[in-house]
Amino acid sequence: MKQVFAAAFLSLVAGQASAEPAEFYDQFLGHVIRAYDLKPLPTKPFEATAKYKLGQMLFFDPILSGNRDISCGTCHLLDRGTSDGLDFSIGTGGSGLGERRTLPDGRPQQPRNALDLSNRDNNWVKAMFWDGRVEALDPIKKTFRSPLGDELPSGLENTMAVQALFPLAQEDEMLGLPGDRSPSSLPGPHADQENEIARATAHLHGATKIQQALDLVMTRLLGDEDQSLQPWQRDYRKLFHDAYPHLSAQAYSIVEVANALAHFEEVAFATRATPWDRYLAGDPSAIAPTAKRGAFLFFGKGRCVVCHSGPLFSDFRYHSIGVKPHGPGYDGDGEDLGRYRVTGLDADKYRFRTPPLRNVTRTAPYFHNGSAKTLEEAIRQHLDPLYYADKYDETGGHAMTLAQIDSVSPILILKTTLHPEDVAAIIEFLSALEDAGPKNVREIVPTSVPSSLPVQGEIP
Amino acid sequence: MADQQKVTRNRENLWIRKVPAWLIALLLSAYLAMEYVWPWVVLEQRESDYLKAAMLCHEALSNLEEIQGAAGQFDPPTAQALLKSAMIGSLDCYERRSLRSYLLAQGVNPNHLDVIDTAAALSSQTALPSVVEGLIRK
Repeated sequence: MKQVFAAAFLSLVAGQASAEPAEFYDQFLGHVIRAYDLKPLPTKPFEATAKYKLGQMLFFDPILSGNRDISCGTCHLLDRGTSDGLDFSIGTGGSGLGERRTLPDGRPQQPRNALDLSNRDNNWVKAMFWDGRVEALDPIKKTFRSPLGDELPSGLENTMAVQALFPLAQEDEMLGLPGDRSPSSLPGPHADQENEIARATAHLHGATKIQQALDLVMTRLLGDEDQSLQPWQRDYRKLFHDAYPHLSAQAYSIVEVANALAHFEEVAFATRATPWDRYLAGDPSAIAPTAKRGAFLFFGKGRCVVCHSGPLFSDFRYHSIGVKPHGPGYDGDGEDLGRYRVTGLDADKYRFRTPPLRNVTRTAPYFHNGSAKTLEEAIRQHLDPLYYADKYDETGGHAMTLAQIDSVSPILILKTTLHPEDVAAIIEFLSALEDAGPKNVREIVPTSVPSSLPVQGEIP
Repeated sequence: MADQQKVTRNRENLWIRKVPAWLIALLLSAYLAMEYVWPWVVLEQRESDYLKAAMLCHEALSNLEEIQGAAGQFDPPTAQALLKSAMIGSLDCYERRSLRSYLLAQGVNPNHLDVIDTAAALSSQTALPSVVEGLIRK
């Protein structure tokens, strides 16, 4: 009997003692949800329309690249959250996919980390690229600012469509260099071909070069009706006709290519039914107690929400968080001036667009130069943005210049008291923003493309 | 004589005399347990939780205070966003208050809780600068 009483007493005490504060977090998050008016992210239904199919083929077909060796899908991999797992993307001339992708000596390396493509159709997206060089000025009237300036063709449907134009005309991404030839291992008519697009645009600069390159891409894609068409050109004409039945073949332009690419990306790469969205829809069991604590910290004491705000967790504004220089740098010698290259304002030096966070757990490494290998490292940088202010780089020089130190956002200079377990909880919350992944991979990644080139540009 | 017998009978009839000694001992033990042992056991079990909740609350209030002081140096939307997040963060104090109410209801001496509050305030002041450094640098 004594043992029974003792056991009952201890279980009572233990029961009281184990009453975790977890039950508070649903109440806390109720306040958070009301305060920030949080709702599940609306997404377009997955529907493989004719426009989707055209965009899908264009996305995965290396025929759009000067050397026929790289497609959009080469650097935007599904299993890397539509990024590529590398510090810096490797464009044309490279081989392999993901972390295995390598670049031969002498080829120009891209100086920035590949951005993911999740939810980029959302109206909340106001800017593309790390420096925001493509921006929506008026999403309703569909006016944009881009490196093409006034030469930007009309009819582009959103910022994603505008963005899709530029990698095609970028030498270190898809255009290639004059004198390049396609790999000899490519099938049939594509092997060892001269890069006619890079040759024809070699002497051009700026908007003229971009326009000329895009025109030549269209010629290669659809051919000339007066001459005999290649098999892939006939296939693409059919796909264009199905996707744009109201247009005549003469009217097909790079605008239709960009709009189809954007449409495919917005349908294929929408994050659907993430645990966090299910929680917002009213399922309290959708996320673990630690993730709830993480969400509370994200919106509260951690102050992450000050910049990572809105349904996509980005304010689409520009901030400097003291990221250490790494790699070649967009401006050479490891330097990357970020937003300054677009606006020319001193105040914009070293500032970069706040990255959206949906699927962030799948898109390592982080920052514009991929210098943070893990999310923990990336969060830590936010907590201590001046960590490198008194450190030295590999060459013995200062890791941060005075200008870089001055550029650090005052939002981050304010003291943030996050403990290591808090950081772990925030990472757990960020995991709840992860898309479960497309259940229909085969509807996203095709088994073949009209050109018969390797899908995604993985050269044999 | 008769009176003396009556008094003796009355004494014997006192209700208290009829309560078994073992029951009195049990009740007394129960009282002592409720008054002293139970609060001690509960506090022993929850002291670290309360200390942690008090530290979090103190940190949250310090953050709120710092942001209120610095809000002037930011543009209005940023200042508003900072204040909003700090106020959300101060919900951490709800946990401490709730736990405090529970402990008081269990008979824990409020003075003991005040001592823990003070320790939490001192502890967070000394510990905070090392919090960030405590994160692993690879």
